[in-house]
Amino acid sequence: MIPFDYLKPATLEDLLEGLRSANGEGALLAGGTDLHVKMRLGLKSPRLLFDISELAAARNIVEAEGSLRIGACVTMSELMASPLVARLAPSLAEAARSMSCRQIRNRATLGGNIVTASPAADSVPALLAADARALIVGPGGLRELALAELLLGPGRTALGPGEVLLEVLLPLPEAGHRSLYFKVGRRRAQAISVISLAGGLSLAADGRIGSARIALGAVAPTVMRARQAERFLEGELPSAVNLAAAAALAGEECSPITDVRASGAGRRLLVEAWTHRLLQQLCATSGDDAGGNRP
Amino acid sequence: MAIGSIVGKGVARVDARGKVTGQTKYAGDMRLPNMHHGKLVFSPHPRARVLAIDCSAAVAMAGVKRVITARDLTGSGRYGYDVAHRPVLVAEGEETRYIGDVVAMVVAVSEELASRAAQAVVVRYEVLPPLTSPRQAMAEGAYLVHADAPGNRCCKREFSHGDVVAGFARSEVVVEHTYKTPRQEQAFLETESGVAYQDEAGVVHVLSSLQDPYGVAEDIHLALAIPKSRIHIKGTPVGGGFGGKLNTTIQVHLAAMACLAGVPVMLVLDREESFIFHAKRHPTEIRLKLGAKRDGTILAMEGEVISDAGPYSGRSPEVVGLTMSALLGPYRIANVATRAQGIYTNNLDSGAFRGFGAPQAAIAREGLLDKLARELGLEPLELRRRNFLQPDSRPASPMLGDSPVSLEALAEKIIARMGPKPEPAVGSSKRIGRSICFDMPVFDVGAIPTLGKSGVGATVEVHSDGGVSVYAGGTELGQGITTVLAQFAADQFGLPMEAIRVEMSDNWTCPRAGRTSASRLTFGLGNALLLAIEAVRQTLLTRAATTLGIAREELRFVAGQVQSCSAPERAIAFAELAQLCWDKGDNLREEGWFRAAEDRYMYGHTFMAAGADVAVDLATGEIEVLKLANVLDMGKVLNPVMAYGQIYGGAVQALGYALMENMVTKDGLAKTPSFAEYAIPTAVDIPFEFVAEGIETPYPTGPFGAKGIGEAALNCTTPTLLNAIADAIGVELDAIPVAQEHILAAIHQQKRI
Repeated sequence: MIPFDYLKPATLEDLLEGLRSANGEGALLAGGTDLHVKMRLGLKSPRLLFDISELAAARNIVEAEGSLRIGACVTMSELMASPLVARLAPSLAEAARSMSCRQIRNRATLGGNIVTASPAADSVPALLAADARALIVGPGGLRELALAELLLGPGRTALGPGEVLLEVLLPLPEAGHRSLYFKVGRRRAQAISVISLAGGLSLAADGRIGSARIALGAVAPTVMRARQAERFLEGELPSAVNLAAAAALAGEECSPITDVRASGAGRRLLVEAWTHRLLQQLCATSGDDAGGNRP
Repeated sequence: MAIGSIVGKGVARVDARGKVTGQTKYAGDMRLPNMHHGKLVFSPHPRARVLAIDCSAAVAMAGVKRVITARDLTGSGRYGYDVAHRPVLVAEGEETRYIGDVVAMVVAVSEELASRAAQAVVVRYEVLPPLTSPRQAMAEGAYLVHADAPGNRCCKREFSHGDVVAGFARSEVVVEHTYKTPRQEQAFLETESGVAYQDEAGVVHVLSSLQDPYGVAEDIHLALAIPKSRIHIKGTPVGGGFGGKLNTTIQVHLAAMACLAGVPVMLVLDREESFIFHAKRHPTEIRLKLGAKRDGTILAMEGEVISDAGPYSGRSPEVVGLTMSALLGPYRIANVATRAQGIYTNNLDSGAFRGFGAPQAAIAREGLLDKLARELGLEPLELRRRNFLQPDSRPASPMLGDSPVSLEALAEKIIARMGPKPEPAVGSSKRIGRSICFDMPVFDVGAIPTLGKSGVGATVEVHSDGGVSVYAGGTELGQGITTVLAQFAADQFGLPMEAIRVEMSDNWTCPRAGRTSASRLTFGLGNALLLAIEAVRQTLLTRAATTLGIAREELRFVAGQVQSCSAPERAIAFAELAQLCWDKGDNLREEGWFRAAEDRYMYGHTFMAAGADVAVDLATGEIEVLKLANVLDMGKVLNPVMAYGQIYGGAVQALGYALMENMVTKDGLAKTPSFAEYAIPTAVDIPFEFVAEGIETPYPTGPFGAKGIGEAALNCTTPTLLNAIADAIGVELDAIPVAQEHILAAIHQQKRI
């Protein structure tokens, strides 16, 4: 590991000022669970680290202005423990629970999980399925961006120089909305996703599907929404045939690669099978809707 | 043994307190005055010619003590078990054979500096196309990984018994299939590590995590031309080995660095280095064919094994040979023709791993037995029982063996332990499958005739205060041998466990005990220690008889005394007797030397049964191991806590092998180079119901009737899981690991047919 300097700015203003004077040489350290590994392997060698793990402006979970606002430096353990998240974004809490082990969850942050921009990022399907937006602060002030537009490809985001992801904004779910998160790994804990998926669905008074949102992880260059499957379902009855057809569409519209965790073809089968399971559980009239992530 | 004997009791491990409290010093915890740090420069290419090595930048760095290349080495510069053809360092002009080959090494004042200096060593390579599969390496005209190995054949073993052609001709049903198994990583927690220094007398001391101090000394002698009398190898507490530290790992490199740099050197591989460096379980392809009569009587077996031996020979001939031998399993098969080859490639190295080639064989054999059962319309268990070796039958195997056959007893036990097969909930998409498989894992009984490395020694010393030291050159890998030997000594001297201290794994203080492998220590080292103890006991008895005025035959060792059997009040305290012997000049330090008769069979057999219930969700492919049971005939359970611990541990490794583990290489490069990519089971992957049991059919020559059990649970546990999954989904499976995607693919494939 190349030697580096370490700074811990007390305020957001100090951080932005520091980033400005670092001139692109600095890196942000939140949980460090990805950054540290990359530095140890020599894949990243920042000269200057800004520790933002305790930056107050990025540490809150609040309900405000029709959104659930989650600071980028909130840890996975904090997401799991938050009553607000449990009530307003249960599938996000489930995604956090699915990540790695307790030690990592105590450090890893929501913002870090997003900006690392892994196609297999555990939290991102739950966020995308909730139509989350990113609040970004930088030299030009604050700006808001749909999360889907922030994520450009493996390891690539739309963050500009000196920009920092500050908060994630989740629109509040409509009444009767249900959401679920599933993760398939090679083992039951501490697994990188083979695939992951999150879904949200609301049924209209006539029993038809109002809105359907399906997000798929680890089957495309970024976490993706299964738009074709969603469109197919909207306004339809949640019949067995319709759910199976939508699941098949999800399997078709993803573009998985083959890697050490699974084959591309296998991932398509998994997407279809688990999307089907997801939709069945979302549409189930009885039983609880607490998500399961036990592949 | 005496009632109340400590043997057979689940006494606490003698090393438990140190390990649990963190007091145990592993090699990486050591600090020596003026200790420097080493770093190896690995070849990034599986096959490349080393054109030039430029060390000048590294040498110029402040704090760098020495940069070493092949030209600095004295001696042959080569080492390796059996065939010493592995270069310590690949020289300019030579070719690398895999990405674990080392081209240079650096000694510096700190770990960080050593690491940076290693990066500053500039090596120019001519990159050459590697051989990345045995098929490719066997093809006509393929380049030779070793010039003296035509066809890239590392080893070939053949076995025939009876008349296999006639056997198949008489068969009414013939089944045949090909099975593929992946490369499995030992995944020990402690990476290869050690410290070495040369003292003022020229002795090289290597303190390192290893499984065979004597083999390491041999390799250092061979490679560096250091006289054997000046090589001291001390095994440090091992944080997991499982065969991965059986070959010499970093110890030759350590010794060379210490001698050439003239300072104590520590070397600890990081996880990625460790994963590419040591030899793993052979990826194996097995074509197997069975012929049987309609009633299930198996008449013939034909088998062909092709294993990826990786770049160096090492244990491959022995492992691949055992894969072939183990194909027969615990069954009567009159006509057999089997063949096995290990093939050199430029992939990661293959070698010893708990089970030593037998787990691969069990997957093919037990899988094909289920296929045969389906063809015959027989219950798989019934087919197996009809072909069990009988108590009076000798296995038609090149390994033979003399263990009492207890398969029917094991079958009864496993059936009872499995109980009724569970049913899935009504309307569920889950199906439940069951399998019961059998095996006869081997343990070395000390007479491997071709190797002549079979003798095992152990020393015991009774001190004048009545304390006891045992010197045993085997290695504690976590299997519990230290505790077992202490139990033996405590039992035989009638002393508490606390009175016994066991020193292990040191080629200076301990008589030669050979390698820690083949589940051999309890048998070999245990027997040697009992011989040594008996010699000291006789001296003690003679002195006690004289002192007490009682015939020797009347005396016994019990409760810290030597006392009269008929009149226990007539006694002398053990410590008092020891002091008396000391004063009188009696020798209370004896060496026991155990060597089985030359014509003895190579192996004993730890017969085993494994049973599994597995739920598979047909809709999602989700696999849930509801129950996994292993029952072993251990001869005598010496310490139930440790014995069952061994079985649970082996079964978890078997489960990982079945469901998730695969050390993937592509173009000779590691694609799963760390624990982020290489998945092994975690605590939550353990079966819901997990059973380990033993039965005890005394093994006549085993210490207290015991057998070796260290590897056994791995053997047929993997095929049991695989067969149970296949039973659940109704589709044959012939490759591991099996994950959700494979279940879905198999079901889809079947729907299409």
